[in-house]
Amino acid sequence: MVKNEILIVDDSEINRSMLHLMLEDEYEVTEAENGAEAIAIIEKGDHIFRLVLLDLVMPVMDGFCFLQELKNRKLQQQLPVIIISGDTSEESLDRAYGLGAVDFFTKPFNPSIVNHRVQNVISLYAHSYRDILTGCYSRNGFIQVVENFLQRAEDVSKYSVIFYDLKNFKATNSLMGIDGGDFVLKHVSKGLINSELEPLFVTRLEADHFVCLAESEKIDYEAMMRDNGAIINVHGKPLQVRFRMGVARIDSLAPIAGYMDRAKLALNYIEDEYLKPYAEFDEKMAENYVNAAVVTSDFETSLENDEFKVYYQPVMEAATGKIASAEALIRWIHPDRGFVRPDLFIPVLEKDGYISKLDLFVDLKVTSVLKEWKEQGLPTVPVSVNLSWMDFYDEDMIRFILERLKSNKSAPGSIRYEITESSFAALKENRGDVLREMQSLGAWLLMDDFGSGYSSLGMLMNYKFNILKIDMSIVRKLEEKPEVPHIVELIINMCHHLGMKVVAEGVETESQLNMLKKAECDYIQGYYFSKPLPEAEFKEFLARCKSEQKIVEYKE
Amino acid sequence: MTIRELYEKIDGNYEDVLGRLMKDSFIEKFALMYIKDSSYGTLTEAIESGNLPDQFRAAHSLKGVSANLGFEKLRKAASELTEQLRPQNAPADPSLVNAVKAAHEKILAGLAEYQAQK
Repeated sequence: MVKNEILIVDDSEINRSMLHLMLEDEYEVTEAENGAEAIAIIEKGDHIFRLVLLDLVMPVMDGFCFLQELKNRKLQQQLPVIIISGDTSEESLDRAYGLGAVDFFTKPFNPSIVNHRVQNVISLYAHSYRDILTGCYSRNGFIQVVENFLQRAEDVSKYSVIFYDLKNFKATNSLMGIDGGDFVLKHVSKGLINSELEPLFVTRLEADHFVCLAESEKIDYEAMMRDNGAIINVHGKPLQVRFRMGVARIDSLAPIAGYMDRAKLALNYIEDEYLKPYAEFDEKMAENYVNAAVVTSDFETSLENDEFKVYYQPVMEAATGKIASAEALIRWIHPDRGFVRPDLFIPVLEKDGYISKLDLFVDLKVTSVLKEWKEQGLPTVPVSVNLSWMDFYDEDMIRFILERLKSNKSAPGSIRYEITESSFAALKENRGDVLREMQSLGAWLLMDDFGSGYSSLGMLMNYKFNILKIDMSIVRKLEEKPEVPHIVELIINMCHHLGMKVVAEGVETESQLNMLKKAECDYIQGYYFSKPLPEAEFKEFLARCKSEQKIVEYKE
Repeated sequence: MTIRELYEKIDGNYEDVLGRLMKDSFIEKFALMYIKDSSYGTLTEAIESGNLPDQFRAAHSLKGVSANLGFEKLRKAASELTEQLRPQNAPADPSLVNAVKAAHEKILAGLAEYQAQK
């Protein structure tokens, strides 16, 4: 780790040299002859001083003026000043303390007193740039020291930012208690600092995220993986510590926070949590990256500017290949960013509470399009709309849905909503009865993404769905593992017993289709038949189906 | 002449400075730096020009340096002069200045002798 820096301000070379000698083992020391020179050095920003040792009586700019200048520049908060003076008159000390000095010692300098006082003051002031628990830098401290370091580095491209994410830290806290969790964090930070990576600076962000700056050539994934998964003893209990790593190589002197974001982003691209729990950032990741702040700030104008488009993906009857229904999917075509992936903006909107607005937009759009087509005598099929778990906390959204159902004159099943198991908690907490109310008003409910999570069976036991959608992650494994077709067949069988139809999502190949048909799957959705289509193309698709008599007729 | 003998010769406190700097080589290094130190020169210039703030500053500086170097007699003389000059309402008292001058010159002579025999 790099030494803390101290600035000595004294007009006498003898005094400066003597202090320098006393401090140089532990600290990086810079000297200034008077207050003006000291201010100039601080302002230039080549150093991050943790302490100033200040003589009071000096030519050009004395210690009092220096303290006043420091105060005027609002630098005092982070930078403590100790007075070093032969002059210990109460009056001048009083004045110095009044101007923000924190301590003093007198000439002659005594090395052990000097070192103790310096150490005390530095550690007292360390809290704003140190993490108290682990002694690592805080986020702000890290940014400050790293940017300063890189500014002076000859070649910044030699360095990388590494972002560590501890696995299951929340569980550690609840299993081992807060004390245990703290123990783990301290253990991890110590391990990181002493690792073969030899990081130059380490920070702890949030609860269980660590970031460090290190020389890229010291990054040895194999060596790092040897330590990953180590069992440590936490107050007598064994605990496995696993982490994931994202790496961003520094390519230019840009703000370090950007590289921290890149390294964190790389975490999302880790393919195998166990065999290769690390990823290096590359530019492709940035293309897909939509900053959460951008999503939030652009969302409402984008909605007004019609940048959100509803796409329709046909759902076909497995046995006949006729179109039976469609799913409405939202697409964001941003004027600057182009096509924005839904998995990047939907979680942000869910977090910020905007998602209900978007769901409502889709529902309104679908309703008006279908109404228009019917009035024009064009063929239509039922189109399902996705509801977020957030919608069940939104009374306006629920009211709108129920009103729409009450005024609907079409047959049951013409209005359909897709719900994922993430809504389970919201339903239990808030509106357990709303699903039954929706169904009694003729809506069909689709259980979405079945098999992608953990508690789908709980949903099935508590609520009655009309259709269950098997997640594409299961469909993709149909040809990979011999057990999967059996599991899928049993799911379909179970659904039929419970009075549900089944849609398989993400079907891309004929062999997948044949397996699903054999398992008596009712409906197929996926690229094999059609990708999601913009409104106009979907209209044509329906017309073509109609002319070929490949459309499932519903009795109105 | 050893460092201890030098300090005896110039009325310094060898034990004090050894306690702080730990090594003769360090004491020697800093003591010899006094030859080039500008505090005394600044003091005499300020007295000649009648600049009271500069007189105080220089005396004060000389007090700090001599304290750090363990030049006990100079420290005492500079300290008394500093207190006399602190209010900055009267020029330096010649008798106090002479005491500083005597101590200063004795130190310079001692240091020159020490340097010559090395």
